Amino acid sequence: MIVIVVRSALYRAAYYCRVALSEEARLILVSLADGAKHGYAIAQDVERFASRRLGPGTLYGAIARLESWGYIEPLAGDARRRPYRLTSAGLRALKSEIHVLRRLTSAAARRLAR
Amino acid sequence: MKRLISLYPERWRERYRAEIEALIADRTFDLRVALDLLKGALDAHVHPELVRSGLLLSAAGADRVFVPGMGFRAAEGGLTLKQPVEVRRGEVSLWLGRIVSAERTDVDFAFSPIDALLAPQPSPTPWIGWTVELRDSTGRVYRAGGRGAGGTLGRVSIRATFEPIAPEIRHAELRVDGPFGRWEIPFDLVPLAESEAPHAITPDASAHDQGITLTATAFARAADYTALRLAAIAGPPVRFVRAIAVGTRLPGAFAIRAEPIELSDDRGNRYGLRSQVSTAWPEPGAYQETLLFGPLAADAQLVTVTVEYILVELSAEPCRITYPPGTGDYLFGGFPMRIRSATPDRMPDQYLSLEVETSEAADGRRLSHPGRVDVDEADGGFRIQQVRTTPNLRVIQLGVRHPGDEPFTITFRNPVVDVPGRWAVSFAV
Repeated sequence: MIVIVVRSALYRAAYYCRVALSEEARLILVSLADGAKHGYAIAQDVERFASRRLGPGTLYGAIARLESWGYIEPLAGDARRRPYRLTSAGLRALKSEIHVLRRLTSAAARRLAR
Repeated sequence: MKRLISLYPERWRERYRAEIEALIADRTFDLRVALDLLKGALDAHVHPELVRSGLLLSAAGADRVFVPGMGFRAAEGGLTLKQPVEVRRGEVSLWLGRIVSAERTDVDFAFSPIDALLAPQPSPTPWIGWTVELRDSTGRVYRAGGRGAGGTLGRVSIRATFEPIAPEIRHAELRVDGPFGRWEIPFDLVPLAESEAPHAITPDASAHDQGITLTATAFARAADYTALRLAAIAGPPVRFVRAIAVGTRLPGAFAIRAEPIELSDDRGNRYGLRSQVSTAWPEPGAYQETLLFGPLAADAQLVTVTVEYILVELSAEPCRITYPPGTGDYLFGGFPMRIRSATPDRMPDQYLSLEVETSEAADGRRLSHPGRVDVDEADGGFRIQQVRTTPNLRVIQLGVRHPGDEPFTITFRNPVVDVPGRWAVSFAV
């Protein structure tokens, strides 16, 4: 019980601290959750799991935002295929998003079931 | 495609061009991609702050040396004073102690001993009126930049800034005209790369926490000191980073560091902070600080700098308090505030002392102080006599000179908060 209360408070705190994530930024965070990927691999992965085709302008606009917020970071490598990985702040932001989405879907499901 | 990419801002192209081109090369280039690039270019122009100029890191990436008192400077084309020069005239002597010309020319000189009445306390203004001229052996006079003065009783130290001296120059002259008469001091210069100043390495090691990235951008070790430059970069809602610290909250309205930053190595040694060489805000959202520590142990191979608090100024809706009555509950950028007392005083001016009690915001952060306070929507300036925060960050004390008996509005802008976290930056030396 205490664990649930503390975790809920932490998620709430993270939610208030966060910056507003766009749909594309959220998809990129999800894509990087299982390991570092370069731009093309992210675009392919997002297309696979979300059926969403990210154009190059949209993809790099979201990557730049996530990088400037410290949610993802580039790794050393070929400048044309630079991999990105999730930072600890990015992981917290993603967990906070999942928490909010879970509450949203469960509230929606409860109301539809009435 | 190349034309469309050229529509992006230069900084953006430098950073992402290769990656975007590689991405497009792997796909079919059609109208949808073209429109997406066009939209992306527009977005990049509207939000230039998203891509850093790379100034912090690229500047550190160049061959740089550390000059005590001056910071990290580009070695290429740089010049420094061959040896200090001291000239005595009667009771007063002029000491030309330091000159570094790299990106700009900084000249440090001092007069001593001087009459206590002329010492730059409480204001250094009298020294600004002096004529200080830099002239090289070809007769060229260098354009002057800023000037600052400081010093202790009996000694006045001045730093004058000029445009860079041409790299081939080896002899120049400083001319100072002021209350101590006219002084002409010839001096010799040597290339910075050939001087004893230690060459810097670029650690480029970072730590992220709370949406703030802390990066070690330059490091130099000498026999009697260790120099480190840190950069803290944050995105919205942070407007800019004000200070970094370790170990405790930052008390007071203007963030006097209570616990200095500590450097440690892989041998278990800890190095206390000796001094802060410089602070700078090189671009929006970025803060840079150069620090000096004690000399590193000879066998140290890995160093770690740990930061536990970063003081930031946030973007937020302004909070307006109308007086009278002035008391009541307010919300300033998510921070609940209550005006605990408002005490008017008519002597010697129309003066109002406000005590504002603050509470934690929903995320647990506590307001340190407002970044700016306006009276009747105009910059407070002289009308704001005092902004002070109690060390426990619970009460902001504000002194306002106001227009008179008419009601007036005090506006708090840009909350300043200390962000607790852990930024441990480690790198090989």
